[in-house]
Amino acid sequence: MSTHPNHSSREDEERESRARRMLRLFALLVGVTWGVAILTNLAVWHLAAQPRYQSNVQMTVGWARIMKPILADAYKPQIEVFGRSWARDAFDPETIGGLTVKRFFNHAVSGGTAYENRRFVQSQLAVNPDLQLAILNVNSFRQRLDEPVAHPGFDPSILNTDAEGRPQNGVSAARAFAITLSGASVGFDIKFADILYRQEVLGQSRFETLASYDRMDYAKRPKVSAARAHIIDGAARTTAASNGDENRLQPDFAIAVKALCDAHVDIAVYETPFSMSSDQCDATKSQGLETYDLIRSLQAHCASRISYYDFNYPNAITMEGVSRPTDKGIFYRSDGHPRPPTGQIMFAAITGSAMPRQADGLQFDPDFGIDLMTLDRDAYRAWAADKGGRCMGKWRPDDLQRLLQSTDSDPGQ
Amino acid sequence: MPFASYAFLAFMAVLLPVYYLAARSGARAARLVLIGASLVFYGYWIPGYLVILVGSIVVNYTLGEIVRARRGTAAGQLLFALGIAANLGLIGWYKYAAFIAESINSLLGFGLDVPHVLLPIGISFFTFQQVGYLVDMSKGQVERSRFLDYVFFIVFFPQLIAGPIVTQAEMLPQLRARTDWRLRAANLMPGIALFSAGLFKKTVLSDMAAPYADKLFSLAASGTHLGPVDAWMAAICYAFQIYFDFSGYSDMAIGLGFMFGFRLPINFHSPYKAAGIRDFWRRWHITLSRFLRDYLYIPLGGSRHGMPRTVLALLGTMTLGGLWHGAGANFVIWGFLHGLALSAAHLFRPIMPKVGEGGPLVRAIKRAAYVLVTFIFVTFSWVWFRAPDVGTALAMTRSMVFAAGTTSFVTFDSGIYPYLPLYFLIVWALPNTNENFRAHRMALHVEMYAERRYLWLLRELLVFRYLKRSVVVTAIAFTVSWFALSNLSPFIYFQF
Repeated sequence: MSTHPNHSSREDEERESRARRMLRLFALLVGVTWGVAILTNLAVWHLAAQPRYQSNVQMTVGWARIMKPILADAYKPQIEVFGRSWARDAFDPETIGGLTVKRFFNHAVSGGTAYENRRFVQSQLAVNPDLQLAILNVNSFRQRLDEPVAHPGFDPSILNTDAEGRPQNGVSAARAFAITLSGASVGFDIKFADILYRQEVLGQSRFETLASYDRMDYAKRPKVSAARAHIIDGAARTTAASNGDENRLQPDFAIAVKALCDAHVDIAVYETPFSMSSDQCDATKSQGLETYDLIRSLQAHCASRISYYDFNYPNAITMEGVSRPTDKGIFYRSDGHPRPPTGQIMFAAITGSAMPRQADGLQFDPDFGIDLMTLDRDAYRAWAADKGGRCMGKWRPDDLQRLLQSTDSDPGQ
Repeated sequence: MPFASYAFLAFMAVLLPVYYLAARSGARAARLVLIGASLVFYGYWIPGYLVILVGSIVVNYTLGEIVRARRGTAAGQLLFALGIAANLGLIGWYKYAAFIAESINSLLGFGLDVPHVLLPIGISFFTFQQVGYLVDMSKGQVERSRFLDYVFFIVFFPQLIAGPIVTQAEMLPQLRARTDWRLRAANLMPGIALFSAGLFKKTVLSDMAAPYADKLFSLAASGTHLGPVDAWMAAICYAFQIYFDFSGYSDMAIGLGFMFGFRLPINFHSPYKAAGIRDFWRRWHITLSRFLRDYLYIPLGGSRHGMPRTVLALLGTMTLGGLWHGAGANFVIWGFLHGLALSAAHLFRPIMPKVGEGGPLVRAIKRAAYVLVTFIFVTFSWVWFRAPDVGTALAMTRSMVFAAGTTSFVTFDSGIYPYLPLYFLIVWALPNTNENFRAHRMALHVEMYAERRYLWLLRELLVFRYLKRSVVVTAIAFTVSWFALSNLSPFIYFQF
C-alpha cells in the first residue's frame, strides 16, 4: 500500500482505476436521486399551490421562510398578514374566508424578525399590485438588541427585492433551486404530504391535523390563580409584570409602513393578545404609546390609512381560563399562541366584519377592537391607562361585571 | 464560508474542474489556484478581513526569515518576542478587547469605551499556526521554504477557519515533496466519502439535537427555573450537538484536504469513549490540545517539576484554553473546571485502579465506569461552555446538582428522546471515521490511534472500501445531508 496519496505504483494505478469507477457510480446515484427529488418536489408544489390547500400550507410549521414568499407571489393576495408564529397560528385562511370575499394570505413565519418581515413586505409589494390591506403584527417588529436579525432558513436570494428595497436579479433561479433541490422543499413536502394523508386518507379534520388548533389546558398553567388574584382581586404584585419591556420597535417597522404607504396599501397594526394565564400583563403600555406616536408621525406622510389595534389587555379573550375556569382553551394553544378563533375575532374587528360565532356569549367592552388612531393622544393615554390598570386589578365596576358574565361557548374547534 | 452550505458546495463544484485543468498545466498553477480559492473562501464572509489575513501572513513570514537569519543573537530573540507579542496582540484586540474593557468597567467602576469589534473568522487558528511557526523557527526546526508554500500552509481552505491546527512540520514537507498535483480519483473518492460522513454528522445528527439544547438554554437564560431533568437534557443535547458538530467539521476538513492530495492531522477521535479526563483531552480537538501542551503547559513547567507545579501548569493551561474558546467568565470557569479535573486525575492516578488490570469482565466493567464518569463530568461542564452567562450556568448547575428548580413548568418536547439511544450507540459503541477510513491513511498520525475490535457486521457496513455498498452509503449520506442543509445552525468552532 502506498504511504503517500501521490505515490505511484501498479497497485496505485489499479486503485485509481477502481476509484474512477466508484466516482462514476457515485455521480450516477446522486444524479438519479436528485432527478427523483426534483420530480417529486414539483408534483407536491403543484398541489400546495391550489387554493383548497392554503390552510395546510400557510399554517404549516417549518420552511415557511422559503415557501411563503414564493406562494404569496403566485397567489397575489388582497389582504395579507405579516408577523411571527403568534400571527401564523391565529389567521387560518379557511376561517378568514368566511369573513371576507377578498383573497387572503397568512405570510407570518415562526420567529419572524423585524428585518425578515420588512423584507417580505417589500418583496411582496414589488410583484403584487392587488394588495389592499397589510395586517402587521407589531410584536414581530419589536426585538431585543441581542436577538438575531434573521433566523436560519431565511434566504434573501429568493426575495424580489434586496435589503435596500431595490429589485434584485437571479430570483427565478434561486426560487427554482428552492422549490426543487433544497432541503426546505423536501422538508415541506414531507410535512405537507403527512397532513394531506391524514386529511384525505384517514379522514381527519384540519382541527386534528394542524398544530394551530392545539388547545391550551389551563389546569396545567401554574400561574392562573396568581393572575386571577392580581388582575381580578387586585392583590399587589411583588414583581413587575410586563410583556418584554426590553423589546424595542425596530426601524424595519417604519420602513415596511413607508413601503406600504408608497404602494397605497392600507395598514392595520395590531398588538398580539397574550394570554393572561401566565400572569404577564402589560400595565404601563409604554410600548403602545411609542407605537401610537410613531404611527401618528408616519400617517402624516402616508396617503393610505394606518390603523392601530391593541388586543393585549385583560378582556374576554385574554382572560380565558382566568376569569372562568376551563380546561380546554378556545382562544389559545398550549404554548400561548392565539388560535384561529382569536384570529377571526381580531380580523372581524380590524376589517369591520360581523363577529364570528366564537364570539357568541363573550361580553366585550364597548371599545373592544377600536382603531386607536381615531383617538387623540390624550384620549389614547386615557384608554391605555384604563386598560393597563386592569393588570393591577383596577377595573370599572361595569367592565369587570361584563367580563365575569362572559361565557365562552365551545364551538368544538 | 461554512462547509455545510449550498454556497460551499457550489464553490467546490466550480473549484474542482478549475483545479483539474490548472493541475494538468503544472504544479505552480495548481498551487496558485488553491491559494486563490482559499482567499475567495475566506473573503466570502467579509472581504475586508482578507487584509488582516494577508497582512498577518506577510509579517510573520518576513519575521520568520529574519529570525532564521539572526538565530542565536539578541536581535533575533527580540524580533521573535516581538513577533509572538504581535500575534497575541492581534488576537487580543479582536477577541478580548471588549471583554477586558467591560471587566475593568464592571470591577473597578471605570468608564472605558467598549470597542465593538467583529471577530475575523478563524483568527485564532491562523494566528496559532503562525505562532507555532515562529517558535519552531526560533528553535531552528524549520527548513527554508518558499513564500508561496508558506502562504499555502496558512490559507489552505480546509483548515483555515476552524482547524485542525497544522504545524509547519506537517504541511511544509508535503508541499516540498509534491511533484504531481493532478487530481486523482483514489484521493477524490475517499475524500468525498469522508466529507459526506462529516456533512451528515453536522446537518443531521448535530442539528437534530441543536433545537432542544437551544430551547432549554434559552429558557434558562430568560430566567425560567429548569427542573433537573430539563437541565440534564439541555446539557446532554448540547453534548451531542457539539460532538457531532466538531466531529463532522473535522471529517470534512480532512476529507477536503485529501481530495487535493494533502493529509491534515487527526483532530477528533471518539472523545466520549475516553476512560478518564486525560484520555478525553487526547481525543477532543487533538491539535489544540497538542498546541496548548507544547506552547503553554510545558513552558509553564509541565509535569517534571513536582506535583504543585504540575497542578499550577494544568490550571493555568486549561483556564487560558477556556479563555481561548470565548471572551467570557463562563468559558474561563469551564477551562478551570477541566484544569481541576486534570489535576485531580494527576493527583489520584497512583491510587486509582488501572483500567487494564484484571480479567476481561473486570476490565470491561472498570472501563465502562470510567467512561461513564468522564462523560458525566464533560457533559456537566458543557453547561458552562454553552450558557450565555455565569448566572444562567449557575442556575442550571444548581438544578443538575441539587435538583433545584422543581417549580419548573417547562413541558420539554420529548421528540429527542427516541434518538438518544442512537446517539449513545454512535458515540460509545460504533467505530469512528478514523477507524472506518483507516486503510486510506487520510489523516496524519491516524496510525497512532489504535483500531478497536468491532463486530464483523459493523466493519462490513461501515468501513470504506472500493465496493459498491460503500459508494451507495456515501451517496445516501451526501444526498440526505444535501437536503438537510436548510435551517442550519453555524459550526460552533467557527466563532473561536
